[in-house]
Amino acid sequence: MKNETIIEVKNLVKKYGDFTAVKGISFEVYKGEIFGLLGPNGAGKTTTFEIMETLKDETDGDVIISGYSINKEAEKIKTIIGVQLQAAGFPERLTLRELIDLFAALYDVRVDSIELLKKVQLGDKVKSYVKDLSGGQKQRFSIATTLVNKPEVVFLDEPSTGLDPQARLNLWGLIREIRDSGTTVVITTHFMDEAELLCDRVAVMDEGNILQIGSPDELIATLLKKGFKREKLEKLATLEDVFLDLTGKALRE
Amino acid sequence: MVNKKTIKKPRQFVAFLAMTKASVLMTLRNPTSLFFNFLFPFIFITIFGLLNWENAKFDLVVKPNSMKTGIVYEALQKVDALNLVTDKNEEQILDGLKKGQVAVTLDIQENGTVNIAPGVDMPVYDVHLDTSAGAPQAAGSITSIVNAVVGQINASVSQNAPKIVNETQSVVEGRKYQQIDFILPGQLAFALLSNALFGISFTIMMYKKNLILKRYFATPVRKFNILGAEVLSKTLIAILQSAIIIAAGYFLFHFTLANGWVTVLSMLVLSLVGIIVFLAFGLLATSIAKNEDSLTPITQLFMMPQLFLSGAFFPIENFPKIIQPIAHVLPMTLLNEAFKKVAFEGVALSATLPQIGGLLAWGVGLYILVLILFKWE
Repeated sequence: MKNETIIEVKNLVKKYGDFTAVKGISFEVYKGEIFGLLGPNGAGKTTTFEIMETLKDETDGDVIISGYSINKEAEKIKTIIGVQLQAAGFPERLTLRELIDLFAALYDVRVDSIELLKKVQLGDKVKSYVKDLSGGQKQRFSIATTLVNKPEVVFLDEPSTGLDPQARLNLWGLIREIRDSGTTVVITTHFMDEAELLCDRVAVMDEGNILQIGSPDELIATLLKKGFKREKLEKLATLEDVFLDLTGKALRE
Repeated sequence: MVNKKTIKKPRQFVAFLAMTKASVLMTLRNPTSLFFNFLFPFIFITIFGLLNWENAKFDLVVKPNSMKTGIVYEALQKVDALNLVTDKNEEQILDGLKKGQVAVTLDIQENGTVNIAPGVDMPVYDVHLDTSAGAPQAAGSITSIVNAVVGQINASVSQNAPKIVNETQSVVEGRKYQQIDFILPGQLAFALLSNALFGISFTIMMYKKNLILKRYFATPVRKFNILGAEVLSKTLIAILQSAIIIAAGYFLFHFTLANGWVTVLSMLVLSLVGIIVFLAFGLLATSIAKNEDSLTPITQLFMMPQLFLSGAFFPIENFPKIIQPIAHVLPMTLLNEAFKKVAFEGVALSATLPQIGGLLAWGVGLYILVLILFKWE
């Protein structure tokens, strides 16, 4: 079965004065996949993300999401996407439930806020404030706010930064659930193990260009074909495996 | 190519109301803003009350050659808070004024008559006050009382021409000016200004800093509805604040409400006009400030001149002649004057149209500046 395209990035360019942050990139994201945008700091990932999220205007090119052009139909795109910003806070002194209801009102939709909070394992926190949540809970709550409008695509910007291994494992479970329920997920991350385990396909970016796109396995195979050899052979287990074996996979919060 | 779904356009008023509600909840749950909105004005009023005299009488020194009869003089005699002093000669008076021992002198002269109704002529009086720069507080209070009495007489003459004398006397008799009547209007204006200024500017700055504003931009809500909801919520809180301060002033400190409920409503309408202008100062402050550190001095820059020059703390008459015209057109001065007019002169709201018009002019100018200067990131 041919993959159905949900996001089409076409010759996207973004300039800040003399500096070109994104240099005419093109790629597609398929419906129902977890797509990872990888790259070092300053590679142009965040700029690309923010253009797709309707938060920045492009200099040239276009992005089509679910048939709508970011150029002309940004208002419509906003209603079918969910956006989690890295390090974004929430208004203070509102309970999780009140915040979910507030976000639902921004989209003019009705949502069962308690059900949604249960879905992200915050069913017992409906009356808490965000400041009283742990790091993992904050990220799960932040993701819950991206789901109020039943979006076709959610954008998650470095969602696992700052989480302990248990919370990260738990977050991956949640992201897979979102994908399995039919929502396309686009994420950025600095963790290659995360990209490898979580993403169906990844694009590697640097200096405003896309260097390679494919599934993690394909990219690894390409590298090996070039004759790449690790200096030290992969251990059969990682330190993270040790950590999880010793401390268990159950969430700590 | 994916088939386009038909998308229902989100209704902006739903978002607007939800954001307003959220903002009101946030403010009411914030101990700091509760303190500054509701408790702080009372602390100020109480302190000012304690600093001065309880049921004090002011000496108003009558010049030797002034008339000591007639409608104006008699009305002033009936004011409880005034003590008319008639035993001082010109030399003593001049000396007292210079030393600040005499705060205000009164000189009433008859100046012809005016025909107010067929067959009814009324004498016209020229009332002149000399005030001492050495006794600013007392001078301000006495001047306010005399202005109020004169205003009352003029108002009753032109409205109920045939019955002037009786009407005037009965109203003046019933009016007892108290200290709170001078303190509360200014403190109310000050409370509205400071809370509007600090409340909205720091909220918006926090929204920017914590990327809350950016998070909202990723949703379909229109940018200006985010600001609009903040303005509306802060306005609602301010009206509540006004109502509570007026009510507490009335019940605890016996603040004079010349026409009862009508006066309360008039003051709330004036509060509404004032708060919308003051919020514009707050929005302007966040537009200019680069970060939280520069926000504090900028808000102070907007507040301090109004605080000192509005007449709420020091009578405007005591400032240098060059500054006085500026002081008189500041929004807080306009609001303070309008409050005083409706509260203890008991004039109709329509009589404060010059002040309301002035405030609205400020509002239009400030909001235009905000539209030009506001930065969303």
